[in-house]
Amino acid sequence: MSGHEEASRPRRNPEVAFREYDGEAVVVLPSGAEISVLNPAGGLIFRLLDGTRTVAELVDTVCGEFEVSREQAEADVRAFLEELQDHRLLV
Amino acid sequence: MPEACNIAGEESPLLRIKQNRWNSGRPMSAQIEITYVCNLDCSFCYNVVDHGQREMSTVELVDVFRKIADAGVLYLTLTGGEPLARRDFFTLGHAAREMGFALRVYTNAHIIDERRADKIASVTPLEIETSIHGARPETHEALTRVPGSFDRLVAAVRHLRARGIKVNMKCPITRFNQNEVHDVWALGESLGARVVFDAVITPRDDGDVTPLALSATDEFLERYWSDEMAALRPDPEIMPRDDSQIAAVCGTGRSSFTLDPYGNVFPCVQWRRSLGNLRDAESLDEIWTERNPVLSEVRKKAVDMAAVLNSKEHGQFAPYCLGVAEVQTGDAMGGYRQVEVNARFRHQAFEKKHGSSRRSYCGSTDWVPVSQTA
Repeated sequence: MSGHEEASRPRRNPEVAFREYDGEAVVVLPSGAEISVLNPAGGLIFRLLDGTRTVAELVDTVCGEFEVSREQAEADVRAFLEELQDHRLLV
Repeated sequence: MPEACNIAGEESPLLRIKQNRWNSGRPMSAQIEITYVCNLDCSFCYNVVDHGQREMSTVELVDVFRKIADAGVLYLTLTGGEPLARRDFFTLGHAAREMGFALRVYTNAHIIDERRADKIASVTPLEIETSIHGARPETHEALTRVPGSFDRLVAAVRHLRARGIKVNMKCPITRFNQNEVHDVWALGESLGARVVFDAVITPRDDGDVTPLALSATDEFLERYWSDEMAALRPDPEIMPRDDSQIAAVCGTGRSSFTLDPYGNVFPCVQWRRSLGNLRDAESLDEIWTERNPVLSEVRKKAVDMAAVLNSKEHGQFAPYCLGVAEVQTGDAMGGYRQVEVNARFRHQAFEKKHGSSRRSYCGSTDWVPVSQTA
């Protein structure tokens, strides 16, 4: 796994607009060309990406909110962060 | 688990969310007129300054932004007057972006030079909207009544586009620019900006109908709605109104709302019925509630009007605006000339392309009294 180690504190791109609706998050890139909807777990993580929380803390939060094993949550959080990075949604 | 779903097609989660918000009357968009101060003098401007009221301060506006964000609004348009006339504009812009809004700015662009274009880029707006009133300085400035405003607009659009900022140029079609629409379109293309024409001129918010004298001629409007000019229209394909979800004539009081510089909330930009004052309220929910009699009435009229239009010959093609009707005639549901003319030509163009939109007529012999069938 590269990029997002347990102690790193990922931060969402401040140029991204987003809002949560019934658990899902609508994310708008500044260009407006890409709009995505994140599922409830994605929306939760995205909201928490303010640069103050470590990856380990994000995994803890997901485990606390959803019925999921820590191993699965960790794998999913890391994969999600990679995907956000690819879409320029992290700085 | 976490999964980004890219949006494509009708079954997209974004459309589902938008539909849910629409059905429950929870807006995703808002427009705030942050000032009525303006550096142009457009002859058809609909704003009416109330010298008895005080425009919101920086602190009050940021507080209003927070209330709107808390209500789930994603798309925020800052307009005026001329929004850049406020010295705190960039403070407000950055505050809005920090609250997660997708930001649009509707400006006449008159003071956007290289330096201000840089500052606008730093706010990372979704897009800038501006107005163009002709393809030539004399046409544009006949309406803005400020010499040099055309060249400054063109220069400003270049500055913005050079910074990768998306620009829409709105062009209300008037009898002065109706013969220049193709040139306006070409100018937009040369600048890398999208031109959005509007065929309907509206009265001022106080009911003054003087601007209507600028309306395009009927002969032009017939051509505008024909296939000949389809490529110039925001929605090239003319279709009857879709009543499949909520049969409302528009999203007034439902999908978005407008605030004036004094904090008054209106169900849309055109219908100036105050729902309450957000500067004074604790939250938007205090105002935006089914218990608000004005909001309930507005929503009901939007639904009732769809039924009225469906019973009229060209009604399903009418770009009907309850606010324009009320300010122009005193009756929101009473109809008005611009909509009747545009509906007739839209219907005519639709039938020319697709055939009759009416049900097939079976002939009088198909009508058989019940007593004879028994």
